[in-house]
Amino acid sequence: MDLQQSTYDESFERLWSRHGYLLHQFTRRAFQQTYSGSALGLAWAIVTPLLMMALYTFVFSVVFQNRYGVMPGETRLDYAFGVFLSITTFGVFSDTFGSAPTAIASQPNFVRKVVFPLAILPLAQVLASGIRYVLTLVLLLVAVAVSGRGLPATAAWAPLLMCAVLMMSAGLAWLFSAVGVYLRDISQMASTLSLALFWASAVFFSLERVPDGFRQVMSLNPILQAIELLRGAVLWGVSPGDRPGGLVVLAIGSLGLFFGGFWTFRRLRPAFADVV
Amino acid sequence: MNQIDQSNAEGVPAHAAPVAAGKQANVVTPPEPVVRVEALTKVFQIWKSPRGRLWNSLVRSAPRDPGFPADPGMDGERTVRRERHDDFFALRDVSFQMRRGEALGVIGRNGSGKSTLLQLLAGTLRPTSGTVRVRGRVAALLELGSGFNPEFTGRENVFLNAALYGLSHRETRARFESIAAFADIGDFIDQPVKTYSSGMALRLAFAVVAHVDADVLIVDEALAVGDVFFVQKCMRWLTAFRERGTLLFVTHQAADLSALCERAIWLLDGRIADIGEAKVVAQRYLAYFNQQSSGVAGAAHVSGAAARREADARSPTVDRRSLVLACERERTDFRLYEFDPEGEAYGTGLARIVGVRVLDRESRVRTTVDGGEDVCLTITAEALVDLDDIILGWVLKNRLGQYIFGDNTYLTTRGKPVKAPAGSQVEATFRFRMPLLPRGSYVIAPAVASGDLENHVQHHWIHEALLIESTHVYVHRGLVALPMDDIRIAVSPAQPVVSVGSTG
Repeated sequence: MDLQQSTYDESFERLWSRHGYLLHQFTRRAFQQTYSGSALGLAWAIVTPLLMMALYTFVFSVVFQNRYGVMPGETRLDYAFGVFLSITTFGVFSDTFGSAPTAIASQPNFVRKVVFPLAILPLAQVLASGIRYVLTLVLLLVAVAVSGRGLPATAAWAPLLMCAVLMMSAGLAWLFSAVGVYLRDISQMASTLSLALFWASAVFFSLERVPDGFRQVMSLNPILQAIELLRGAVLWGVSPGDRPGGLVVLAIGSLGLFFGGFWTFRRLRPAFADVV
Repeated sequence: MNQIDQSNAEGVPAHAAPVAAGKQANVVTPPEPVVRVEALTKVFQIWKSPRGRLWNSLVRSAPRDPGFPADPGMDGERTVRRERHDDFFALRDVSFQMRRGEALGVIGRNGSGKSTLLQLLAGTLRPTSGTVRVRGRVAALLELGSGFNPEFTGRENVFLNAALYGLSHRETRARFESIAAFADIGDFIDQPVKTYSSGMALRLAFAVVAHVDADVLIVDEALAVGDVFFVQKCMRWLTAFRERGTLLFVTHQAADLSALCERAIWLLDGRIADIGEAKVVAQRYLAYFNQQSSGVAGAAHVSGAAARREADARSPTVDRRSLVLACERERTDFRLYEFDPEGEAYGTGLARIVGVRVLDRESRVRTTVDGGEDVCLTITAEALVDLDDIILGWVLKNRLGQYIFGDNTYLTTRGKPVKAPAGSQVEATFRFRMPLLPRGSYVIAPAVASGDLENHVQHHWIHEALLIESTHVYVHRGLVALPMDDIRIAVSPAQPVVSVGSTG
């Protein structure tokens, strides 16, 4: 046993191998925290999406009568499902923008007092909203399946696409949590950015409806591509394989954000204790 | 600065050392250091704006580089634009080593760099330059409930903290009962930590640290908030810990230093002002600050004392004035609490202590006592089997578990051993004048044993049987002050005599 430099070591390998337990605990905690103290408890994880789905269906099939216009014979219900899927997917990002900026800054004990694998904190929050995301999507798939039209075979792409969504969220969470240690303003910036991204992610309309010129720019947004590809695969039977451009943007975006976010986090990490 | 040193600093491979020592019997190879700190410097950059700090981390040199260049010239090219920050040297060029089983004290005033040093050792801060190398597992007790998440329950925090120290879930589960028993906070263990008092948080934090098999333990002034019983328990544990582990103890009280450590470091403005034997360092530390506060330079102080000794030797004092101890107010120096027979104890159990009381001269049980008053301490023990040469004794300990004074019946009964048949009660009475003790909590630890001073068996030793609170307001130097029968001060008129000291 040699003398070791005593300090933290935050590499990917250690995040999983050594700190798996901590990650699990914090994820569980972040997930439960949303529901703790309520009478229905964890049942809310099922009830909330069901209520939301009912609400969306009502609003977007009765009040607003709109269409994405991709699938032939698109019904009002199809549109409502599309909006629900899009908003749920975007919800993972808006959760991240909401919680990540303070994920580290609000835990000075873990920064200053113990040698703690801090990268776990933002990641656990992303995983917790990931659990909600998966639950909601399973419910949606069931609803689509029983709604009459049935699930298209392309829905098998869903896990991969959702994985890309979570990777992007994790990267953004690392980025924003690390920068949030230095700049408290990042919380305000993040909520504005979240709103801007919401409209830039084609939640209520299809990319195809966007006028030329704008469309090319917007299609470079990986979040938009994730939503677009998911809608196509889960609801309209459009295989992401037929949209290679979108798939490439999504792949580059998710890998780039994930590793870029982690790289930034590690780079900023050493000075956390000096700043917090 | 961050590479792991694979080789042994002494240049001798570790396994080869015993062989070398065997060949040259007169060369004693010292045990390898467990902690090695070399030229450690920590600079905090005080930035005009956090943006500058962020920019600096992101854009400038790689994060592993020191944030502050050891040689300003090295960084010349990159710092084209003047960086907008001031440098605060929290620690400058600190070097020391610690060996297994050693207890090193760190003393210094607030802001002297103690906490920074601890954080660097614990690994929560990165050095600006220099290295910290530690062998084995480091556990730190830095301030209250350091690594706790206030939203989590005590139980969850135990598992979390233990995981941070590298214990698996299974290992922690196996130790959980023992941890909970050590902390002794009852049902609070399942309450969120934010509902804890500072004392409870400390209890839990210490309990975890005591169970993680640390090789190096860092203890901050955290113990200050513990009650007397818990602090005593911690001190006993720390004493046992030192047989296998290495302890770094931080304090700003010189008395604590010499109680726990053999060696000490005195930090002054981030530099090592003195390093060496704890007692000596503590003395110099006290002397330094006493001089500072009284505004007397060291040399003058010494010559003043020398002059007084000279004067004493030369002439008898002329002008004598008696000073009477001021007694004008209602004085209550000690508050006594009731005997606690359930306190933690050890021993064979062949005899039990059933009573400890403090009586005054008229044999009345007292709840308060004045310093200087004659008191009787009685200890009653019950023999459960026939015991031949029974001894009753006690010791008064301070908050840190240091023995202040005590006595036993051995010398009194030597040659005529006291026999106690099964079922009988033995009572010992100690009459003495209560000294003055600095304000704080004290405990009396009574014991019943049989045998003689060299060779005896403890039947029942209660660590904390009787709590005594000293409310004495005079601050005395030292652990105990004797009531003075008479204090005089004299000034001899003539000659070159400079000053006359007085009793403190």
